[in-house]
Amino acid sequence: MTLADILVFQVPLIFFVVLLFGTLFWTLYVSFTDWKTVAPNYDFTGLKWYQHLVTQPRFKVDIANNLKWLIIGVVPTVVIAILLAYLLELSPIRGVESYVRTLILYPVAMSFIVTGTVWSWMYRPGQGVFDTILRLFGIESPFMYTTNPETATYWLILIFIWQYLGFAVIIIQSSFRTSELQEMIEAATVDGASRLRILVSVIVPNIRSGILVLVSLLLISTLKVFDIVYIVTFGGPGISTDVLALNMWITFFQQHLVSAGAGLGIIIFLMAFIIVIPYTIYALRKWFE
Amino acid sequence: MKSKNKSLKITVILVLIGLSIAYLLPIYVMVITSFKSIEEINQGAYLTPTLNPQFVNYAEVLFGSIRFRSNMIPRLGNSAIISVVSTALSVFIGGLGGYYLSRTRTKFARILFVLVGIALYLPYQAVIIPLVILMARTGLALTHWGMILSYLILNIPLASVLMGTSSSPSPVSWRRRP
Repeated sequence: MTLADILVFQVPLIFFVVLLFGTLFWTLYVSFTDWKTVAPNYDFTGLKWYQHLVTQPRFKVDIANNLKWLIIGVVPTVVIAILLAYLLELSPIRGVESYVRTLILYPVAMSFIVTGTVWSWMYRPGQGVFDTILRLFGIESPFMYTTNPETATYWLILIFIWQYLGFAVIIIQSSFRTSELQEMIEAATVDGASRLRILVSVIVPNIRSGILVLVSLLLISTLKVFDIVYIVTFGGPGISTDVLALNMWITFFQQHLVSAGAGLGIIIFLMAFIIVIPYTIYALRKWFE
Repeated sequence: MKSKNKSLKITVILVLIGLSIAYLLPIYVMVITSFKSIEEINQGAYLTPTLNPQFVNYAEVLFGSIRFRSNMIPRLGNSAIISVVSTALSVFIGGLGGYYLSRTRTKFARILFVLVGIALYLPYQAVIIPLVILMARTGLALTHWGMILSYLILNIPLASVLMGTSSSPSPVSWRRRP
């Protein structure tokens, strides 16, 4: 490699990677200091602000809600995406696939601010779109949507599933289309296996890598979820739908508790890191084999 | 076999109807609401189209009014500048870096690749506080370049990996369905 090569190919990438990890360690350092107003304060205080965070009732709610998001936001999305992708492969009607793909992919291009606003009209108890439709069928709506603190988070997660389904289907579809898998499906069909049997025993085990990529991406997206909660409920009713990212936003941008906000950022990062390690190891092994 | 295909067809049609309603209803509601007056919107009734559609909402959003003070045209300009410049630069720098990562097998390149792999999934919450501090100190806060730089820092790892894998020496074979 000549000097010119290094300058062109390596330096820009290295510059941005160093900047990114520099800011990451900066966050880590700030979380150990005593910075609690607008004015910078780098006095080292150890775990003081983490202790402050953990003792807040809000933190427990956040962790519980983030776990709900991680499980209920990801598992149904992946299952529905696999079923839908398989159904589209089998579809005996022409043109269905391209229609469905366009239909379910458009929300991916929209921001959560837009979809969140529209969905809050859908959810509005009494007058909202869903309740109006139910009334057309003569049903008095039993749902309280996002106004019931017990179930509000699940209704928010439904928006997420709706918005990410198209993205999930695309990833699953692309892993269906390897020639090996198509041959295996043909062989199983010749052997007389039922469609369900083919899905469970042939397809799912052979698209593991696609599922793994999808699950990691969805887990990260649900972990850092912020916009939906911010725009639809702002953590309410009370703090029942609060999540870590919203808590961080309030702590940092509204209360100016910089060290506590940095601590929350580090907690979100650590959760992401634990979730993503399996995928990263898998991907790296494949890359360097 | 025939009856099996029939049940499949029915399933497909039912799924098609369900998905169409779930994905077209929000768009429908958004479009018809945009033509209503504030009084009509406050009455609820999101499903019924308005009898006297008006474009005043669009005019107010684009050019501003007493009720809607901030007009949208300069904001659209900001979005366009930031997204076009940051995407172009991410693709360019990521392309160079990705080419380097995919063609080099030195120890340094491997370490860099691991770091990029971690950065790919880094939640922006973990870096946002120092970014705000940096932007405020360098005077880049509230400027286009401040936003573009923030996007570059977060997007270049993804751009490098995508560009690197697509210029990988071992091509992935895709078989198109007939």
